[in-house]
Amino acid sequence: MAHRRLLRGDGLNRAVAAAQAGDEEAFAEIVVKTSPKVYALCLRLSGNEHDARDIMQDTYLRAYRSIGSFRSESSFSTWIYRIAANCASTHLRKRQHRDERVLEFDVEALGNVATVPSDSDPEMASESTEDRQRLVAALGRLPFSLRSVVVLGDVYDLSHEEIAAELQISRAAVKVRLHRARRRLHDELFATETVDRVSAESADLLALPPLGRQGAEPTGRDGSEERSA
Amino acid sequence: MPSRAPVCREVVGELALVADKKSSPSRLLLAHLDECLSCQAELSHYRRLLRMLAELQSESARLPEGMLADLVGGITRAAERRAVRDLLTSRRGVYLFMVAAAVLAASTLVALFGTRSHRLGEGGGLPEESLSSGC
Ligand SMILES: [Zn+2]
Repeated sequence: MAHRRLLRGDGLNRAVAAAQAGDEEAFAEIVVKTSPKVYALCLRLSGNEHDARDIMQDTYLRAYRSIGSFRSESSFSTWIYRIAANCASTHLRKRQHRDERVLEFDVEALGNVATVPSDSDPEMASESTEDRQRLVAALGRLPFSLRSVVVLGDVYDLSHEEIAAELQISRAAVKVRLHRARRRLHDELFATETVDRVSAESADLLALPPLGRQGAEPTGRDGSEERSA
Repeated sequence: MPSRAPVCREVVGELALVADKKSSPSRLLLAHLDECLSCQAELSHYRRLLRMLAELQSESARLPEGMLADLVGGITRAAERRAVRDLLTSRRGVYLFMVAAAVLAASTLVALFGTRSHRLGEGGGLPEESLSSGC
């Protein structure tokens, strides 16, 4: 089978080059090779299988139509992640326009996202399994506006400019949302540790004011800064 | 010096942004971090959060049954539509289309004219099946 060969080594680069030259079979190989990761992104953005499936269809159709515009000096993964981000944003906006209920974030569906075995320290890996589950659940509690930015920026490493372009928001809004999302995740994951630590150390020992006062935030949680952006 | 350093509640928001090392902390924040264990711990939490988030990128999702076939099927249909469109819009396509149309028109005329001349010229000479198929 052609795709078995392509899945090895630099198969993706060769498949991309062939697809750009008009080889449709090569594009099918790209789908085979990239779809598990792109689907993970779609699930994280949409939070449910139903929307993720539609977003996948849109993403690969758009990728097929515009493969000629892909420049090999950039990463193909980043290129297709950007398309998926744009399709997710469009898809969920259309859903809102039609006044359709935004589907609940389905943490169960994310059980489908399986950690790829890595060579990392096994002790670290076992420690992180529980953390990962808490993180995924905390991501699920974020609204799409915050989740999309933190997923694209901090998971998939897209730049602020790239996120702004694909989600059709300003760069300033990206920065504000990223900041807000990180703080929400931080508070969910480390709140107890912080409270314990503050009570044990800082108040007396360092004579510092308590952390996390609402009025002290440079970025309001009500979207005030984003609106001005 | 302590009066010039930012207090914890002022820097706590900045920590979330500087943790990714893409934006650099101000000198004042750096100075404060030197002396504040609480903010050091906060920063290390943010860095841990970012490491955990980055680790998610290596994960894949199992596709639901039939999804791969749907995706490839969608591409195949798009490819077919594109092939037809390309054929119709390309010069060669237009030329071939015109030739095909001309051939079709000519053969229709020949058939019509031929049938009529047959009828006019050699009326009784038509084969049996042609007569029956006309009914
Ligand atoms: Zn401090």
